[in-house]
Amino acid sequence: MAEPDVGGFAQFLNYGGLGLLAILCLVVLGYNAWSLNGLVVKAEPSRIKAARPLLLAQMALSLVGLLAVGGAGIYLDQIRADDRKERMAQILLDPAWDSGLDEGSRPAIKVGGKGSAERLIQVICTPEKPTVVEVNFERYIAHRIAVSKQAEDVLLPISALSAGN
Amino acid sequence: MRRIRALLIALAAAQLAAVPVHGQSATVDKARAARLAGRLDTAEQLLKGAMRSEPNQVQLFYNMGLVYEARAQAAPAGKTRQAHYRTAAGWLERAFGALGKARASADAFRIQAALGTVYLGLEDFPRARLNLLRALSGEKLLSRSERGQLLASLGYLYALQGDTKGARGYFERAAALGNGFARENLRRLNAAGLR
Repeated sequence: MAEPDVGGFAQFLNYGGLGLLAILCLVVLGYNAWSLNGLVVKAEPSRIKAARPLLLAQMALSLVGLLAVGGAGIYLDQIRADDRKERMAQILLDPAWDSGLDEGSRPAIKVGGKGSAERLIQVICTPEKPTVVEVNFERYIAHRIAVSKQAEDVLLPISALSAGN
Repeated sequence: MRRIRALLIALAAAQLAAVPVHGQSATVDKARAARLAGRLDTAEQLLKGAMRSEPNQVQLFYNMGLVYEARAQAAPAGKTRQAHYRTAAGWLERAFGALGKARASADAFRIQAALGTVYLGLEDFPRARLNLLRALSGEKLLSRSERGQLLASLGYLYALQGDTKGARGYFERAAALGNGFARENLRRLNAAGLR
C-alpha cells in the first residue's frame, strides 16, 4: 500500500519518525524515573524536595509525548484507510476513467467524512448540469478491499514482471 | 551443398540482426540490447548520447522509460524503487507526447502498456487502468510477448482491485501466450483458494 499523501512533518512521522519519537520519550521517562529513584535512595530530603517537581514534570511531559505518538499513529492509519477507500471508489466508477474526458470534466469522487456513515461516496457530474448522486458502497468496498489485501499478500509483485522488449 | 546452405543461413541471420526493431536506429537497438543484458548504465548512456542527434525521439524516450522501469524492478522495495518508477513514467509520458497525431499506432499502444505497468508499480491504479485498457484496444498490433505482458499487468491490476475472477481471466490469457509471471500468479491464486 503506498504511503498516504500528507505533507512534511507527517511524512517524517510516517517514515519511522513515530518510532524515533517514541524511543526518545521512553528514554526521557526512563532517565527521570531512574534519577528520581536515585535521589530517593541516596540523597538528602532537602535535595529530593528541590529536584522532585522538575523530575516529575519531565516524566509527565514524556508520558504526554508517548500519548501524542500513539495519537499520531492512529491518525496516520486513518489517512491510509481513507486513501484506500477513495482509490477503490475511483476504480469502481469505471466509465469515468475510460471515457477520455479531461481531468476537469470527469466526475469528482469524494469519500464521506464525519457524519456521513451512510453516504460513503458522493459523485458530482459537471458537464452540463450539476448532478449529485449519493451511493452507499460501504460493505461492497470493504469486501473488495479484503480480497485485494489477500491477493496482494499472495501474488508476485509487479516488479517481477520483466520490463518490455 | 551443405556449405552453401550454411552460408546462405548465416547471411540471412546477419541481415536480420542488422534490421532495427520497431523502426529503431542502431543506437537505440544497442541500448535495448544492453538493457536486456542488464547493463542499464550503458543503455542509459547510449540513449542520452543520442538525444540531440536521433530523429526518432519517441523510441529514445520509450527506451529510456524501459531502462528506468528495469532499474525499479532491480531496486529493493522502498523509496528508490518508487523514484525509478516515477522517472520511468516521466520518460514514457514524454514518449507518448512525442507521438503527435500517431495515437493509434503500435508504438502508442506499446507505450501505454508500459505506462500502465509502471503506474501499477506506483500503485496509481486509476492511471494504470486507463493506460492498460487503452493498450488493450490495440493488442493486435503488439507482439506475442508484449500482449502477454499487457494481459499479465491487467490480471495483476484486477487482483489488486479485489476482482479475482477478472484477474484470472487475464492471467489465463497471458499464460496461454507464454507469460511466466501470469502462470505463477495463477498458480498462487489457486493455491490460496481465491476465486
